Amino acid sequence: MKPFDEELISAYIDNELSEDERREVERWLAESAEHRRLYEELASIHQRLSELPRHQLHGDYVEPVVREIRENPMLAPAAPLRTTWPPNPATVETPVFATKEAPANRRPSWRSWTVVGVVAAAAATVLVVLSLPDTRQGDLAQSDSTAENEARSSEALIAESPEPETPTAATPMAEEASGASLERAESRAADETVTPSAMSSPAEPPGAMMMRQNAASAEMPASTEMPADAFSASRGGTWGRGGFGGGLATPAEKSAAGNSPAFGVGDQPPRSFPSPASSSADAKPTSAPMNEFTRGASEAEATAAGQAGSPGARALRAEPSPIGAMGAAVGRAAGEPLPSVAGPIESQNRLADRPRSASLPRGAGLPAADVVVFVTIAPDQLAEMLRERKLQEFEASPSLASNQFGRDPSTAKSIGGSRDDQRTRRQAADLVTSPDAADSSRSKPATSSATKRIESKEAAVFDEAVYVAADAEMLARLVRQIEERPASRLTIEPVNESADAVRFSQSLAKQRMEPAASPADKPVKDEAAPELRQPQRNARKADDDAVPAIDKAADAPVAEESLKETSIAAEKKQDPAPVAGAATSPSAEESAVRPAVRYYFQHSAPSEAVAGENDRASAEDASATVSAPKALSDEARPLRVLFLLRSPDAPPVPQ
Amino acid sequence: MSDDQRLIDQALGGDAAAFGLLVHKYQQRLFNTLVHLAGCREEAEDLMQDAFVQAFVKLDSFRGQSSFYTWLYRIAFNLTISLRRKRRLENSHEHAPIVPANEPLDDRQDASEHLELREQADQVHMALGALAEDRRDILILRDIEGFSYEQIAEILDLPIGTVRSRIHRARLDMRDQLTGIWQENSAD
Repeated sequence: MKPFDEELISAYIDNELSEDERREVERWLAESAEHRRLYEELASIHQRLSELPRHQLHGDYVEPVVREIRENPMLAPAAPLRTTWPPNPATVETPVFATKEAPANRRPSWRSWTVVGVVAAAAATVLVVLSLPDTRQGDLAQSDSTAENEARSSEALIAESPEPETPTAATPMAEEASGASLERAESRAADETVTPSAMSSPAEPPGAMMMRQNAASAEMPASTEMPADAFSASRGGTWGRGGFGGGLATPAEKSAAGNSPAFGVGDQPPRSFPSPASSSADAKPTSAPMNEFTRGASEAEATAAGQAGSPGARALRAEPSPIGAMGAAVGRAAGEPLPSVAGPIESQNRLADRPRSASLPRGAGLPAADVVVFVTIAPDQLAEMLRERKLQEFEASPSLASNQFGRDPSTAKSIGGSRDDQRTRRQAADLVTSPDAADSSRSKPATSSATKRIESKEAAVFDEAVYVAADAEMLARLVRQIEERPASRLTIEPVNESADAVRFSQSLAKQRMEPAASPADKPVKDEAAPELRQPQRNARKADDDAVPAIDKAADAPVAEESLKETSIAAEKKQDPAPVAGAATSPSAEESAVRPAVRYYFQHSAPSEAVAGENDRASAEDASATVSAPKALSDEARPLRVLFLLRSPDAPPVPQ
Repeated sequence: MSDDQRLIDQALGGDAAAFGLLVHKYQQRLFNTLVHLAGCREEAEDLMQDAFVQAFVKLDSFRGQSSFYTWLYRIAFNLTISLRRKRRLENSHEHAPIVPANEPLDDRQDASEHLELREQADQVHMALGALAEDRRDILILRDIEGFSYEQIAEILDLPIGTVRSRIHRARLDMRDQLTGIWQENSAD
C-alpha cells in the first residue's frame, strides 16, 4: 500500500493516472473523509475554472496576420534547407507545388475557373497574334524578336497543356516576371484585387498581355527548347533589377499571388477588418465583416489551393529549369522558402558550375542577417579567407537540412564531426532562421530604407551567397582583408535596425574614411572604432530605448550617405586582375547553373555559450522558444553577415 | 496527412492564404487563452497576432512531432513571458489583473442567476489573478484550456512530474484564494 500522495488527487481529477494509480486513489477516497473533502474541493476548483466564460474575439485576425506576412518581406518562413547535396533521390520530397497536376483538394469551383482561365488565355493569345501579324508568318527559331518568342511560347504552352492552370494568378505573376512591370506589381500587391473580368479584358494593351504570356511561358516545361536569350528575357532578363530572381517567390510575387483568390480575388473585393487595437473588452461586438474564411473554410481552402497553384508561381517554384533552380537558391539565400528540389542540384564545390549572375530578388525577404555585404571577389577566395579564420563551414548543410529544417531525420549526420553537435545545430538554427522573439534588438526586420538601398545597388547582382556568423571583430578583419585585395569592391548594408548591424556598418564606414595606416590583417580592435569592441550587451541594455536611437542613426543623412558611399577601390575595378579559381565571363547559357549558398559559423565561443537551460529541448522547440536564446551570452552572440559575391570578371551590370 | 500539415506545407510553399486558414482555425481558442495569460484583451490581441506571425516565420522548424496548436501555443506563451518581463521592467506589477469575460453566460439564465454566475466568475478571476504566475499559467492551460499533462509539459518545457505537482499546488492555492474571497464577502 502506497503512502497517500495528494498530488494524485489532482491527477485523478484530470484523468491522468495509470490504472494502478487510479485504483489506489479510489481506495484512499473510500477510506478517508479528509481525502474525499480534498478531492471535492479540488474538483470544484477545476470545475469553476473550466466553466469560466470564454473571451470572444471580436473580429477576424486572418487578414491582419496575412497582411503583415505579405507586407513584410522578412516574414517569409526561414530558409528550409530541405535539400542535401547531392540530393538523395530516396529522401527528396515531392515539392508541394512541384507538379502541374491538379492538387487533390481542388474543388469543382476551382476547375470552373480553370476553364475560364483557358478561355481567357486563348483570347489573350489570339489578340496578341492579331496585334503581331508577322509572328504568324515567321519562323520561331529564326525570329529575333523576344516578344515573338514569348508569344509563341505562350501559344505553344496553351496548345500543349491539356489542362492549363487557372490564369487567376497569372496576371500578377506575369507582370512580375517582367522586370519592367515590377514596380507596378509591387505597388499593386498591397491591395489590388484582380478580377477574372479584368484578366480577360479585351481592352487590355498588348504589352500587358505580353507580360501575362511571360508568366505563361514560365510554365513551359524545362525540357521545352527555347532560345536562351528568349528564355532569359521571358523572365524579365538576367541582369536587370528584379530579373529572373524576382520571378521566384519574391515578396512581390507572393503579394501579388496572395491577392488572388483566397483573399477576395475573383468576385469579392478585399474587405476591411477591424484594427486589432480597435477591439476592446467593452467595445460592443462588432459585426465583423466576413471574409472567405468566415464564410466557410472549405471554400477558402479551395481558393487557397487554387492560389497555391497559381501557374506562374508553381511553375517557377517547381520547374527544374536552371533559372528556376537558380532563383530558388537566390530565394533561399534571401530567406525565402525553398521547396524541395526535384531536379538535380549542382554541388556547391563545383566553382565552374556556379552561376554567373543572379539578381537579388527585388524586395525579396532578406535572410536573418544583420548586415549584407556586397563584394566583388572570387567565391573561392572568400572561402579561403573564411577557412583561414577557422570558421566552421557548412558547405552542403546536410545535417542542417535533415536535423533542423528537414523532415527526414534518416539523413541526419553530425555537423562537421562537432562534439557540440546539438548546440551547434541550435545555434545554426538560430542564425539561419529568423531572429528569436526574445532578442528584440535582433528581431527587427529589414528596414524598408535598407531594402531600398540594397535594391538600388548595382552590387545587388551577385553570383553566390555566403552566410557568415562570427564575432564582429573577426568579420571586420575579414572585410579589411577583402578590401585590400585587387579588384575588390565592397558595399556594406545593415539590413535591420539592430545595434550590431548599424554599429558594424558604421564602424567600417568610419574606418574607410580614415587613412589606412594599419597592416592588412591587423586586428580591428587596434584600429576600429571603439564601439566595435564594446560588449554587445551594451547595445541591448534597453531594447526599447535602443531601437529608436538606432533608427535615428540608421536614417540620419550622414549615416545614410556614409553607408551609401562605402564602395571602395572603384579604380581597381578598371583592371580586374584574373583571379585563380574565378569563373570565366558568363553567357546567357552559362547562367543556367545554380548559385550556391555557403554557411560559415564561428564555432568556438558562440556554441559554448549556447548551453543552457533548454538543452533538452528539441531543435524544433529551440526555434520556437524564446528562452533558449537567453542562454546565449550577449558577448558570444555572433554578428550575422550575408556576403553576396560577384566574380571580378563578371560583366558589368546594366544600370 | 492532417489538414494542418497540409496547410503548413502549403504555407511553406509561399501560400500565405493557407496559413490564413490556420489562423482562422485557432485564433479564437488562442485568444481566450491569451486574455487569461496577459490579463488584458488588447495585449492578448497583440500577442495573438505576433504569435501567428512568429509561427509563420518559424514554420519551417515545425516538424509535426506535436500538434500545430501546441506548437503555436508555445510560441504564444513565450511571447507572453517576454511581454511580462518587459511589463515588469516598466512597472513592478507582479500580478496582472485577470479580465473577466463580459460575454453573456447563458441566454437561458434569468437576470439574478446571470448576476450570480457573473459574480462567481469574477471571484474566480480574482483568485486566479492572485496566484503566482507559474501556477496561474498552468491552471489556465489545464483547467481553462484543457491541455493534457503531456501537452502542458511540452508547452512549458517541464517534466510531466513537475506539471502534475504544480497543477496540484496551483489548485490548492486557488482554493485558498477563493476561500479568502468568500470569507471577505461574507464578512461584508
